[in-house]
Amino acid sequence: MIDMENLLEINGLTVELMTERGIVYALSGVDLNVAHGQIHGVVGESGCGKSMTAKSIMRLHNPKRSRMGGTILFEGEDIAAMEIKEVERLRGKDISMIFQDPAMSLNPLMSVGNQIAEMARVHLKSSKAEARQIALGMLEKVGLSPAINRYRQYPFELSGGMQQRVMIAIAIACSPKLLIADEPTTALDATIQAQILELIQSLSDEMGMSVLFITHNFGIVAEICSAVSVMYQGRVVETGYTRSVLDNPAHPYTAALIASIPTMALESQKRLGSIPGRPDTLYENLSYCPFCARCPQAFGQCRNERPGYQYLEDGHRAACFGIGG
Amino acid sequence: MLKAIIGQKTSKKNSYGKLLTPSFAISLVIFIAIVVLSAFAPVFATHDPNKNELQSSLAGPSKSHWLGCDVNGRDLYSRVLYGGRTALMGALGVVGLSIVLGIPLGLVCGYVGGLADTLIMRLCDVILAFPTLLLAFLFVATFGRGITISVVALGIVYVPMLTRLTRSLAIVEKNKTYVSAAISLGYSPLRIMYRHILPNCISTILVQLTLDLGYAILDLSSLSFLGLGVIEPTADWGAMLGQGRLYLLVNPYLSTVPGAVIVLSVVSLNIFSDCLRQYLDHTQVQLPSFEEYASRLEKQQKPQESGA
Amino acid sequence: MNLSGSVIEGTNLQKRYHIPSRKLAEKGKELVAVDSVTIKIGRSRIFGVVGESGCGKTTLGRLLTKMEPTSDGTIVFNGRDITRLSGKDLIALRSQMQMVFQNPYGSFNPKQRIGSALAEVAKVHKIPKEIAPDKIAALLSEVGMPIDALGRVPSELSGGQLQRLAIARSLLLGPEFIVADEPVSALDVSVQAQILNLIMDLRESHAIAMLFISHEMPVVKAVCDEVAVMYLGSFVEKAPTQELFANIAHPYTQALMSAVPSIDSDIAKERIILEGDIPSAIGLGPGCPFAPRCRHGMERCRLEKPQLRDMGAGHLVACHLH
Repeated sequence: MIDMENLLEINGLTVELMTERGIVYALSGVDLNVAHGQIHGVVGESGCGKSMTAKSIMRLHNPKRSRMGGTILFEGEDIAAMEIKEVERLRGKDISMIFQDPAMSLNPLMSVGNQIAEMARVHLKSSKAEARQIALGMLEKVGLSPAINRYRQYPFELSGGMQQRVMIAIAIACSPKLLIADEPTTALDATIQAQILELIQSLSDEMGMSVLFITHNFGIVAEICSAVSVMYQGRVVETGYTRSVLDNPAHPYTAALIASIPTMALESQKRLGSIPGRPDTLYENLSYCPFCARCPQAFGQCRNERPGYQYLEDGHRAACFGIGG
Repeated sequence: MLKAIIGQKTSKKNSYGKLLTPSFAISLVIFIAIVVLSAFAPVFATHDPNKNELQSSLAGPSKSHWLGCDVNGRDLYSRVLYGGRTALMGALGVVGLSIVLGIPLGLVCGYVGGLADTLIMRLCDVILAFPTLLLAFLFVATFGRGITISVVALGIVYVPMLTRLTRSLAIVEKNKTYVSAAISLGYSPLRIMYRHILPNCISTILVQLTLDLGYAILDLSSLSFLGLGVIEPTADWGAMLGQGRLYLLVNPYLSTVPGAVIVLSVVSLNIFSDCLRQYLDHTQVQLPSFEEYASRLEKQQKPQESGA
Repeated sequence: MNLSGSVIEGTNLQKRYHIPSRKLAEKGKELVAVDSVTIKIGRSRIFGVVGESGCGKTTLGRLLTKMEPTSDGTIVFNGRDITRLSGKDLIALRSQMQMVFQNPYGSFNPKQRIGSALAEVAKVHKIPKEIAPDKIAALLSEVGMPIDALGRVPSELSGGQLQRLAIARSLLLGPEFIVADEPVSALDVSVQAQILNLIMDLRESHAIAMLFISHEMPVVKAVCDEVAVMYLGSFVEKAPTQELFANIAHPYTQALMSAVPSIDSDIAKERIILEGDIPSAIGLGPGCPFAPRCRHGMERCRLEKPQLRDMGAGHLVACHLH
């Protein structure tokens, strides 16, 4: 992946947040590359910084309460250094985002068709009639047919799965180059989740759109992502092609996480692998490996130094001293 | 008790929610001063508030009578202090009565619901449909004049508002998991209402109560002003305002001083309750900027270093 | 299955909710949340119920623990009919049946310290003062929590820790039956594994019958002895875990299985993507509730609701195909 032309390149991204209890080091050096047309998964447990990374790309932090460092190169331009006005031009047009809870993200007092048309009006400067045509096309594209009838409906008339389809329609209305999907199926049922995953995959193929897919579910990554980054405590600890990471996890955290997933292949009534302890709070900027306290293979160096990336074949890399040494 | 309740919620270290803002401190100082002066009226008063000295009727401020005298020659300063006792005790009585009736009713309505809820809420609607003072007049007209009756009347009138508030808070809490957990642990409804739901609503209720205290002072004074509250010669701010009004041009202090203390106590209570609400509401916490935080950390570290 | 050894038995359980109509003249409709479900759970056994949201699995758990009255059917607990129990008897029964909830952050009173919450349980149920502290300490070590957790308030603990404490609290009264309603759904994967392991351990050591409610197939497979798949209020398939996953018979179970995102590349699976949404449970027709979304839907499915039929090895399926 490294040798390919990337749409998005995040290098050494740090985010510090001011909270009631002091400074939280939410991200401490995130490196992430998303290639053109690729669905890139970001996995990790709650608080690992995966949503924070997405928010940073959209520059959604409160500037008074947060501090950013590092670079976010989108088509060669650094989003992290942009004026907020320039970012606003990118938002929704070149980069758009869908969230976990569609019911909370839609305006309850506006018909879904108008909400999609609004995107075209704002970003593509279309006329009313054009915007309506675009909205109808989008509804059809996300599988909400007959589009004419759906156009007039309000969010409360739709089920959770259909609301998420509307969110996707709004997000892709301006044919963005990058779609950030932040746990888009977590609130949905299994059968509906399968529908939405298939939709996102087919749209990505069809439109050549890159997707940054944030999830806590390795199964989803295996289903739709071609590459994956595993995050822990505000850092990307392992990156690589999905099959390579899943079949040969290099970082002990990735390996332990995969072992703890209950899978259908697993024999019933067997004990699951689990990771002892829990992540530390992020009130300190650690100068050592954040996983060392829970890691079965930790040794002296892990507790004193922060590990850099060790490269394996095919762009697969992991931040661990235990590799190759 | 106040501290115990607030202390529970924000026992976290490094909390930046500040209770002691300037406006909070000022309002608190004013109100405490009013309370202390009234409570220890016999100590601070210079004269017997009910003693007539007809020779100094309507006298202006002087060395012996700091704020002058009323038409009966009673010392205005002493009467304001004693009047505070009536006003504050009365207001406390009003709020106390509304607590005793309103909170249990609200909890029952919110938690138990059903027929009891419907009946109590409709009754509340009826009471709320009348203006507060009009209903109090009705009570006084029926049961006669006097401070006790005014307090009971206002107390009952204040119940529906508190019942409604408690009910809506209880409904929110009732649907939380910990209440289901309490039911499945075999706790009695009474225990669930008082030990589990009430402590989780109390901060909002507390804010409402401080606000109510201010309104109660105002309403009681209004009743006394109209001559329906206290009976002569008991000192009361509202009654003094009413009497002093007749001599506004002769001795303006007679009405302006009681009026000013009413305004002061109500405004300070309002500001107090507003600050309390802001403090208890976590979304309104003002966070320091990164620079402020850094300098604060430096300050914290310096004494430690010099100490070591 | 040992019939005499069952701790709890629900027979033909039904729960209907009346939906008031917005129009005056019109009669309100009925929502059938649970429709003639028969369930039997033995000592030290975990019975799993899987299904999507709104299928009635949580309601079933609430019916069995008497948190809600049943509209129809009987519940027998330890040989005693508890269907119509109320008042003091019901509160006394609560000590023998417990619930563990999905949201660990919400299942403790946010204003109460953990120690005080556990002590309250002991006090209400009159566990003698001399025994209670030892009992609490023993349970804490059993669920893997340090004693100093007792001094914390819920907001100072993580989801996994709170769920351990919630389990400890439910075990304090020595219940014979526990309903675990999605106990791991709100937890991270690595913590989820810890809690599932804990549940499997406790089932053995405390001889508890457990109803394990979940929407995730793999989770149910990992911990349960017997599994039922629920759709719109009815069990569509029920079998011992091994048997069920070896021979999945009902089209809905098949679709649900295929919808589970899997990390295994070598399991070549047939992808079944169901069309449409889960219909509302209000005013269902006479036929099979799954018929409108079923790829095998026949004429008969729309007219007649299939009953659970034994296919052998305790495998029950409600489908006209079998």
